[in-house]
Amino acid sequence: MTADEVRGSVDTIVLIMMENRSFDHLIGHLSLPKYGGRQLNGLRNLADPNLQNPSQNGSMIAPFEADDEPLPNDLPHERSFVTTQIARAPALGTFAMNGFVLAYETFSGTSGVLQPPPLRVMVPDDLPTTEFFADEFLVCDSWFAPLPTSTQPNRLMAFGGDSVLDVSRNGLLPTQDLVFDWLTRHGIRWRIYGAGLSFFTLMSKMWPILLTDKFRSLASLSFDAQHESTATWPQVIFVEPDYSDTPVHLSGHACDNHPPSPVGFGEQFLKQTYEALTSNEERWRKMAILLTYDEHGGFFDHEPPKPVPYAPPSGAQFAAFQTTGVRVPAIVLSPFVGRRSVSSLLYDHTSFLQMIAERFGGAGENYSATVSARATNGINSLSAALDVNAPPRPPPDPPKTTPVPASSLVTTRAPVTTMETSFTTAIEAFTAAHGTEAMAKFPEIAHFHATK
Amino acid sequence: MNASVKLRGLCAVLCAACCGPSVQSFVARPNVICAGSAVQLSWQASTNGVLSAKAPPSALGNVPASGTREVSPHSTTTYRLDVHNFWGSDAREVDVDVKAGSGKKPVGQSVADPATTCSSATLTVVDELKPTSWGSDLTVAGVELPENVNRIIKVQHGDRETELRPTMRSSDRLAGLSVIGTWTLSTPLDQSETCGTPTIPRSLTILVILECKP
Repeated sequence: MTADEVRGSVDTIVLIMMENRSFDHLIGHLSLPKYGGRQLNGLRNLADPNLQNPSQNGSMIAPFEADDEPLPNDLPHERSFVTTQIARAPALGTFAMNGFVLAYETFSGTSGVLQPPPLRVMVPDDLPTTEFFADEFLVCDSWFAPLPTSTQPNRLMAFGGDSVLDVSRNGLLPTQDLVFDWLTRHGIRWRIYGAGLSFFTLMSKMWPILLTDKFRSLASLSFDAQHESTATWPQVIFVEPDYSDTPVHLSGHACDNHPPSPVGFGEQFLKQTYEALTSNEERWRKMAILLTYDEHGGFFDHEPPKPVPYAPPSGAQFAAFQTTGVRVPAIVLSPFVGRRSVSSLLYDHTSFLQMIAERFGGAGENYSATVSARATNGINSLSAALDVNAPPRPPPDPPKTTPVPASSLVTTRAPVTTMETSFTTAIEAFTAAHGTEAMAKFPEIAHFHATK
Repeated sequence: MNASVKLRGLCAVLCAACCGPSVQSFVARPNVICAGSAVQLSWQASTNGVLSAKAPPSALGNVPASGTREVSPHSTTTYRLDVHNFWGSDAREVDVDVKAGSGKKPVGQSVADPATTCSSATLTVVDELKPTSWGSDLTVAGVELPENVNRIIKVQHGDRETELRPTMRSSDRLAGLSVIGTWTLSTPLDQSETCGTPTIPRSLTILVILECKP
């Protein structure tokens, strides 16, 4: 779609951002002959020597199919580990994309694992909702995390177009301009729907906003979609899963797909979200939903990162990034895409912000200088995946059920990772600043204080 | 917000940070062996744990926070270390690949390894198989081109060398050598490949046919 077509056709833009899975790991199987062999840039043959990773003991390990289950531990995905994973070859100047096992062995203090978690390939039976989306809508097979690093910098890029961090850190996030500020400045209605605590609990400037109607429980999305007046129904919607790194899960489990959690609960969350957003067919007809993952989470992918540099913004100090991060799954759910379609244009999370500016900015207005620079370096707008001439169709019905994961979520690690500690710190500080108001709005916070 | 709630919150953060259990390392040495050979499991954790194996006998019992244990598996198995305390849990798993009689193992190296060289005509990688990972009773019976590799690979190991080709996929010229030591694999680049192109192989791999000394 052109910017004019976006302005004339799309009324509601939705972003669903999950956690920590790579393209090849989660949906690379779509192109395997045994699963239909779709014509997209996924996996063709798990025995392809170019997919093998060396291990510390000198043997080579190939990717393998694996059922959905809790993993023994999380995978490395911080900046230094991603450097190992993408494996730039000094003698060649190319990226070998085969350092995922070495990074895992270093991170976990193990070696000699015959089937290391980074090389797991998910299979269709465990992904009924994702398979349904990929079958009915458009898969982007060249969508990258913006930066070769972890959650916090990549989410800041997705939600702000800049990141003052190059690595995730303990404690609250530093304040920076976010898409919420941009939308508010432009008078655009927006809202976050969350299955748990918002990621933006980590940023203190967001606390007063999270206490308003700008944040609602995911449970109310279906009702709002069907009954809320057009005058207040948001034009931009952010749907957040229940994050594994938060200390309280009122439903008993997280659903963000962050390892070591299985993905079954995420499949249920995605189905629930889709059903809610499509429950009003009139609104669906002018809707574009982007489902993607913040970063690869330590899982392998064969596609090298793209040369899109990123220098630290004013006030931040870190070595500039020279490339995007690792490729992640991205599926566009909309009546403006064809069934079983694929877009192989280059995208990253700032593609979403490009489209926000096209739809809601002034004529010719860009989202920001950084997002424009990335566009100049080849990053396309999300709108490039949409087709104004796609044949109209009602929202297809999702699978009736999703499987319950083989085992329920078991936390197999201490709550001391950077993100876990950050969420705990944020809850304490949020409560200290806003007291009972915070506990009343977020039952997770009340539960946290009641049970600790 | 009363002081008690704040104090308990602070305690939750600090205690989780200082008291949550963690496994810093859990390794098996060597981890490719002949059946019945000795393997040393060693670990470093923040607290006592429980050691187990997937192959019987599965329960290996309670173990201190750091230590070693010698095991002698007769089939490929996974060892697991679990640590728990009030604040949480952590776990690590490691496999021991057990060869009985003979078996194959893919051996190779990424082109991202610093020892890799690429001239206009040849790509060369070096793979070091160390006695900390490979049993000293494993010998080489032969080498093969893996099923999906269709290019010439020259193999140097010990004082011998051989060449594998799509038309001659296996060789026994290295038979009898210990698997431990330096393996140098090189391949000629074809006309469509140059050192900087994305189509160049990302690693070189051969299959080593292993044999256990009687």
